[in-house]
Amino acid sequence: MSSEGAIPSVGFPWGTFIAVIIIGAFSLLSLYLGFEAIASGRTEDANYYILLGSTGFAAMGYMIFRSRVTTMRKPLIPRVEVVTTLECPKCGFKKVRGFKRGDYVFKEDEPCPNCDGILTITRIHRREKKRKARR
Amino acid sequence: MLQQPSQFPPPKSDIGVLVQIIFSVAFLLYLLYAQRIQSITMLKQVEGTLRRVKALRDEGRRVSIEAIRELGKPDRDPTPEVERFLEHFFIQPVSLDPAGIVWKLEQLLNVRESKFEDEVKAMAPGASESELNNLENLLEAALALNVYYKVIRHFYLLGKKTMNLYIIMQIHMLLPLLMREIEAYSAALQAFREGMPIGDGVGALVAAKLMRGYEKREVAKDIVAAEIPWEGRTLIVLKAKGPGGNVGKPGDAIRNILRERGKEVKAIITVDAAGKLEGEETGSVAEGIGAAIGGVGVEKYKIEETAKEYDVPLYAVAVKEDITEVVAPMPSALFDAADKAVEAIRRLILERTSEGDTVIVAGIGNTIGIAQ
Repeated sequence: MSSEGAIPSVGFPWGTFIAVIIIGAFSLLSLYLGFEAIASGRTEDANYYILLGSTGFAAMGYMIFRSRVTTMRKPLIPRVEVVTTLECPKCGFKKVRGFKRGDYVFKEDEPCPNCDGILTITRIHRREKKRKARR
Repeated sequence: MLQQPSQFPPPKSDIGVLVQIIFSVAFLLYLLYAQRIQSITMLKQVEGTLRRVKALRDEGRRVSIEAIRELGKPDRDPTPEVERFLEHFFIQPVSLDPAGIVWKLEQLLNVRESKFEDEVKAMAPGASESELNNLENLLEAALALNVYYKVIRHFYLLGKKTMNLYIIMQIHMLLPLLMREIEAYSAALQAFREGMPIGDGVGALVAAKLMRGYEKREVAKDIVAAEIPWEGRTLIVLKAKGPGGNVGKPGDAIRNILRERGKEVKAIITVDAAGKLEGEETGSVAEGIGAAIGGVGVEKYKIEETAKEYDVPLYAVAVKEDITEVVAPMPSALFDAADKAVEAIRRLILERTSEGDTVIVAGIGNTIGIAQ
């Protein structure tokens, strides 16, 4: 694991921050000039400045969004929930519980609460996330 | 009255002139430095991904050390051994003269396997046989994450050093595909640490469902087989020995059975998980011809060679799954698919063999979390 310093560490995106400030200042100025132009009846100038100001704000929003994506702290490895299904071969009793270390398919695990049989693990799988129904 | 068309942007005011200049400078800059800007943008994206891969690699290392401490109860800190393990490499045999390369590759793989087993045993003296297999799988997943990290870092640093668009582009274009594989390996950490069945185990699960309740014997290294009478035929079902993480040597097992039974065997059916194409459903079952088995190809070669020697037809049943599911905890759809695969095998046997025939059914894949 040598040369760990080769990759810059995660820090505040200063470059993006400065660019956002500069673009923001220009955009505000453009909007101000745009509204001033409206007040003085110069419609063409007003349209131009407002367009420029809005474009600047859109670019700012995009830059903030991009930098947020790269610096956002996401769980690295999303732990999936795994469930174990146990069934009694004698009476058909079924039980579902969370996976425990040492569980494996076809393991005879614990006595059946309904009869004198032994609950056997028949399924181990991850619990599927419920998908939102699309309208 | 017609209006005079206005200039856009209007240069009448001072600010208009200033904006004109800014636009012109921006245009010139883009004209001259477009490729450099593109390279920097791509490098930034690679850098972001690289940070994530590094974090995943570190997580793999951390999880491995933690699992060894927990299961193996070593009397000293296993960190240096784990770090040495993660730097392990494998040199493929020379292929200038390809005749006999499979056996050379097999010999190297056997050495690698026995070295890994010994190293894991030394690191985790208190672990059981199954736990040792799981730890070995876990370390191999961590090793794979380390290799991915180092390769991406290599291209990133090379691109940064040369600022060559085409070097940067190579890694940038491959990143989405590499990330799918990297995320699959990181999902494997949980499965191998806890000993959960994984997507690749669906072939072993099918065999386990068929052989359950029958007497088993070891027919090759880490492969168990059971003889099952069914519809007047004899099914010899085999799978890797579970419930520890194991794939065994199914090629050797099929060769040993054919040597024992010779011309009695009328069909070999291999069942394995197969990568699905986008648009296909996880857990869909397909039938085909040939040996359904992945890996570097040594076991596949042995199965094909033996089948040809004894003139036995090879049939395959594939259970489709996404690449991200191969080493991740098994999804429910694959568990359901195992029953469909059993039905497909039974139908295949009825259609392609007669009463009195012997059929080999080989459940291929990692049997972690699946007994027999």
